[in-house]
Amino acid sequence: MTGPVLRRLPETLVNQIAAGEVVERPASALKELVENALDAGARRIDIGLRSGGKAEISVVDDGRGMTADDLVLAVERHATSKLPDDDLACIGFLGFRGEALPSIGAVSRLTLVSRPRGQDTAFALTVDGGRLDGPRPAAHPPGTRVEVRDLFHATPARLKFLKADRVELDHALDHVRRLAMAHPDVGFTVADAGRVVLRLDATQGDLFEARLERLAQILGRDFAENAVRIDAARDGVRLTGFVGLPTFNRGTARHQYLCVNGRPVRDKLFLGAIRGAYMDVLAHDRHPVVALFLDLPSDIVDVNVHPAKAEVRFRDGNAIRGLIVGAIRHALDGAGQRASTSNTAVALDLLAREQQRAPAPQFQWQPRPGGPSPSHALREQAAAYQAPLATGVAQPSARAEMPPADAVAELHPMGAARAQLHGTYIVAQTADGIVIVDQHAAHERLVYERMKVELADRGVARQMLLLPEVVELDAGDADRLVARAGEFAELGLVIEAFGPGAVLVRETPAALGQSDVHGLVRNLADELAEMDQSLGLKERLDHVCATMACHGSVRAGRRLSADEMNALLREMERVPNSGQCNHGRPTYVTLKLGDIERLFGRK
Amino acid sequence: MMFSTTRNALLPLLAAATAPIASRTTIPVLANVLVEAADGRLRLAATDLDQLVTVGLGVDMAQPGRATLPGRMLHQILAKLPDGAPVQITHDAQAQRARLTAGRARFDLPTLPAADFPAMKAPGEGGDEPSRFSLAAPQLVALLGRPAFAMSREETRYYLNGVYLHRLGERLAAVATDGHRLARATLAAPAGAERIDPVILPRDTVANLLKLKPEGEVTIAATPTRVSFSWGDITLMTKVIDGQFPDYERVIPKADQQSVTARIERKPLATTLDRVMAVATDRTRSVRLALGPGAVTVSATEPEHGSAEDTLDLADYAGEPLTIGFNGRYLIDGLEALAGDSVTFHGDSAGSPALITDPDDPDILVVVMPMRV
Ligand SMILES: Nc1ncnc2c1ncn2[C@@H]1O[C@H](COP(=O)(O)OP(=O)(O)OP(=O)(O)O)[C@@H](O)[C@H]1O
Ligand SMILES: [Mg+2]
Repeated sequence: MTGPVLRRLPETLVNQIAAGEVVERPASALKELVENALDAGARRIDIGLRSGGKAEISVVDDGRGMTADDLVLAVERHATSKLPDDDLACIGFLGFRGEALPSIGAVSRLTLVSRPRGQDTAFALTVDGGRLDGPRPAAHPPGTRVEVRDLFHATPARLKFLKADRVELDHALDHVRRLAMAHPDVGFTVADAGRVVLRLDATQGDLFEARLERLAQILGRDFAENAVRIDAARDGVRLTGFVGLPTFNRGTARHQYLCVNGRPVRDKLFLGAIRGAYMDVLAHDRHPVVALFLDLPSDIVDVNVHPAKAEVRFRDGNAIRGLIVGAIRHALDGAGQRASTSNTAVALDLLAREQQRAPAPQFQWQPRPGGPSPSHALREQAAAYQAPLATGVAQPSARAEMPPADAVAELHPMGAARAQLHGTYIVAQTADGIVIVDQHAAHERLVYERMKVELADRGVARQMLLLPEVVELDAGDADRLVARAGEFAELGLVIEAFGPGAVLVRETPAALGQSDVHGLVRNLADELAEMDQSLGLKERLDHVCATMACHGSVRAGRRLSADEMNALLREMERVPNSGQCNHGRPTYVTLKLGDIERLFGRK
Repeated sequence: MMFSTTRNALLPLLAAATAPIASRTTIPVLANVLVEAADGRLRLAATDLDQLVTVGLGVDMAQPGRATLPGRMLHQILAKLPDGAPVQITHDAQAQRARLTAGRARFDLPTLPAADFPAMKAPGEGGDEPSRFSLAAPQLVALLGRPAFAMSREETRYYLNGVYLHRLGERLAAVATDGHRLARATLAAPAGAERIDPVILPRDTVANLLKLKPEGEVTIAATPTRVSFSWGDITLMTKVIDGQFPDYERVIPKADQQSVTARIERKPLATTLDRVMAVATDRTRSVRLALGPGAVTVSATEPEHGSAEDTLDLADYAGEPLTIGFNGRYLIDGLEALAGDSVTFHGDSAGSPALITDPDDPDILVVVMPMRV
């Protein structure tokens, strides 16, 4: 028997190994092709997919094009036109390795047809399992058409890991959207099995106008209407883009986009910075929608750290983080009115310290040493936004008319409602202290418990809508929702498909009363997109119950009458588990008179 | 500024003028009422930036001038003065103080400059010519007040947070809906309302207008962005909701195309619903109506709370028996918006909207979408 022999791997195998890194799934091949089209100066890019890209991907651009010689070079490893100075520290294009086409060619049947601008003939070249065929003359308008068929047919192991068509299509669309955000002046269409599933017309106007328009196309008009513009620069680094108001939040962090020098990236530093910037104005389980663009000299960012170029490394990460956090906070502050709370900060600080000594009740408040509190400003601003007609000005909602003292009510564990503060908190007086209730969290819990009971007993009562509502989503979200229409109907939400990228809501769970149907459907879509496929039906239903409950609940910011407040308190006493909202936060805190006396140094 | 009048003359006008003053506001001058004295007349005004109420009054004037005074406080002072007390108000512009004297009582009040008081353009001021027409006060109140119960409170569909006033053929129509039910009142369009542009009057405006209890003839001036209501010495001016009211007409069932009709006593039906709902949860308030020739059975079943059932006679039943679920509250609200002794119920199936009309009054209709229980 002979031992293993050390040998040079055949070229085909080398390419297949490289392909394993570069081309993980159809969407990553598509991303490489679109990047090439953008690098070639295309104004319009038309993408065709079959089976989510598994059977076929085609990308047609109207860019620079390639000559017959270029075509042959293009599919050779490490052939690129994009590093003219041989300097990796100076990258001006999305491509720079000369690796994408040969890698794709190694694991698929790849055809390039291209005609350079200003030339009469086009040439075609085919690569099949590493074997070249061509270039041969062909007919094609100026620009390039790249077709990738039967991706991974030569590497069955990889093929096995591909997901359902729908899932692969979602990934592909995600890549296109991200690239399109960075290039608003380029028009995109994506067709799946001949049906157009995404169409983004080229936008006009200055950088901000064009971008906002493109973001509206991708993230919805709502985003454009609820977004604050960001424009900040420091040490040659410029940060631009748009961030959503805190009130325009979502259930997942899926809608946070960053482009670095025109290149969409996913970056932990970035996600952390966003979290930091919104920390004071959003609950920890809510996520803002942001689209930011960093432009910086290519010598202070390394884009060559990830095989699919999905990550970058900054030379000075802290500076970038600081720039992002600072710019967002500044913009959000500018969007709200500042409310100064010097005494409160001190009081809360004290309170929090006391609470650390006394184990129960639990406080989640973050003391803020001195200074204005933007969270109040933003919350007020948010309230004003939600009710644009009320006054046009934010109003603190503490009620002037105090509910009459009610000795009987004070004997209840949750006490008698005395005031509503900031349209968000109910303050109640009990026999021996005060209770502060987060009205939204509390109500959410009550609705949730009720829905579960109803569901178990006899199914959910459904209010039919006189005016059915059309909710626009992206095609993937809409399909996912419609696929589950049966489950939702059981929970009282009756939806049906309404053309690509929209659902029609016909009935809503009666328990939700009058609620924001659009927000509910969008949140459900987000959750479905994120939820683990393996999650059982039961958990999913519970989860959906919770999301629905959240929507049916009294929003923070709504003023309540004394009767409404007391009714909420009485119900909280009745319903088990009402002390915690569905997200695990407490729904109320109790302060004994003793706590308060300590706060004032009386004890 | 200096003028004299009586408590009794000033109090009701001040009550009206201060109607838009919100209980708390972050803009100090919005808590104040603008007091202007000129040519023997006093003008009071208050605003929340969306609506503005002004009232006028003839007074004994010693010296013209303008200032803004704390609205609520002024109102309380007047309310607490003895009936018929003569009142004198003087304003010292330099000291930014106003003094109110009544008999031997004296009140010194802080003021803010009249120049800080936000101006609001009257409909048509510096813009297109408004439609102008008049209605007797009870007609206007019925037109806007009857459908008002169906206005939405849900803020994302802000364009439903009001009453939609528009021309409907030869009639003037007011519609409100929250997406679950809808109500429409109409009346013969008065002269001058031929070309009125459709407007959505905000819920606060409608509420205030009803609270002010207009009297006599009310003159309405309307442009696509602003509307004013004037009667006697009072004017309520408002911005309108900038939005598109949905095409509601197609959701109103045609009375003659419904397979089921029945005439039911209005008040007894409301009380029956109310009684049966004692067992329904606050949240869903679901009730079931089993309609058939001669009687309707109203029932509610709540696993937790028990069940209830009651039966009421009805007349003129046409069609097959029909069982249909509703939010009982919606039905009661709708019945209360009607005035006659009986109502006509038109329905088609458990899944289609029900139309409730007054057999003696074609000017009002209510549509309620059923609930599946
Ligand atoms: N759509 C296109 N239009 C014009 N030229 C193209 C197009 N696609 C590829 N090319 C040419 O083919 C070359 C090879 O492309 P390939 O994607 O393999 O490498 P790259 O873009 O240079 O680098 P990377 O591997 O980082 O993507 C490019 O440098 C470019 O010159
Ligand atoms: Mg490339």
